[in-house]
Amino acid sequence: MRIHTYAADGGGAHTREVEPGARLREVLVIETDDELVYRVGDESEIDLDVTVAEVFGQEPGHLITHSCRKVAVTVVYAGAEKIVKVHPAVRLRKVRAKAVDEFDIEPADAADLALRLPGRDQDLDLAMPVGAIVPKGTCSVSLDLVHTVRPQG
Amino acid sequence: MSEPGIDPCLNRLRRHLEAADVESGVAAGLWRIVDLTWPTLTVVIRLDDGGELGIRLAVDDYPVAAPGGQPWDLAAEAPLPVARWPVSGRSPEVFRPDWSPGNQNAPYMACDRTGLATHGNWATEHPDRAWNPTRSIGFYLREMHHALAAAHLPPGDGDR
Repeated sequence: MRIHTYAADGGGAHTREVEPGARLREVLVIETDDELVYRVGDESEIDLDVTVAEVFGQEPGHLITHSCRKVAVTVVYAGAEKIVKVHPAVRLRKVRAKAVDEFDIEPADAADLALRLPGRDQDLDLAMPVGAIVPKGTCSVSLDLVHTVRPQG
Repeated sequence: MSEPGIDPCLNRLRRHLEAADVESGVAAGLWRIVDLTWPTLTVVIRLDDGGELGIRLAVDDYPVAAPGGQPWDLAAEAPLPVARWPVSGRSPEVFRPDWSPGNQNAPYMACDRTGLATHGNWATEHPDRAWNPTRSIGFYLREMHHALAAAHLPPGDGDR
C-alpha cells in the first residue's frame, strides 16, 4: 500500500509503496530524537511500533514527522499580520480558516482566499500539513493570505 | 508503474492520481475519484456546505491538453441539467448558464481545456491559474474545489 510522508521543509510528500504489515519505524526516517510521528490532520502522536495497516486500513496513508509541538504561522492579509498557532499535522485548510476568523473576514469575501508563501505566485495545497512548509530548525512560518484573481473575460 | 501497450497519457494520469496531492485531497474530504474509463475521468467535488458535485472530465492527450470538465449526474450517467448546476453568487460563476452550455458545459476556468481554447489571453495573463503541460490532475482538482468553495447546489438538490 502507499504512504505519503511529509517532513519539515520537505516541500512535498515522499511517496512509497510499503507492505501493510510493516511497522512505522521500518518505513519512516526519523532524523532526531525529538521528532514525533502524526497522521496528517490528526494531532495525536502515533506509536512507531504499530503497522501501516493498523493506522490506515487499506487506504493510502498520510504521515508527517515533526519536532515542533506547535507552529506559529504569521499570516499577512491586506497589510496586517496575525499569528495563528497550530499543530504541525494540521492541514493548511484549517490554517486558512483560522486566519479568516482572526482577520474577521466575511464568509462571502473569504471564499476566494488562498494561502501562498511570500513572494510565490502559486497557491499552497490546502490539504498539506502546515509542518511541511516550516523551515527546518524553526517552529514558525510566514504566509500571505491573498484573494484569487480569476479570469473575467 | 507504467504498463506496456497502454496509452502513455493514461499511464501518466494513473500515476498522478496516486500522487500525494490527489490522495491528500481525498483524505481531507475535498474530492473523490469515482471512475477512470479511458479517456474519461469522473470525480466528485465536495462543496463547503456538504453538497457534492459530479464532474466528468475528458482526459485524452493528458497532460499536454488540459482536462475538459462538465457537471455530471452520477446517478443518471448524463450531463447535469443547467438548473441543477452549483451557484456561488460570485462573478464569474464557475459554470455560467450564459456561456457554458454553448461550450461543452465547461467551467469558466483557465485550468480547463475549453476555457483555454476559447480565451487565447488566459494562458499568458493568468499563468498561475492556467493549465500547462507541467500541471497534473491534482492542480485541476484544487482549482475546481477552490472555485466552488462557497458554491451551493440549487434548493432541493441532494448529493450527486
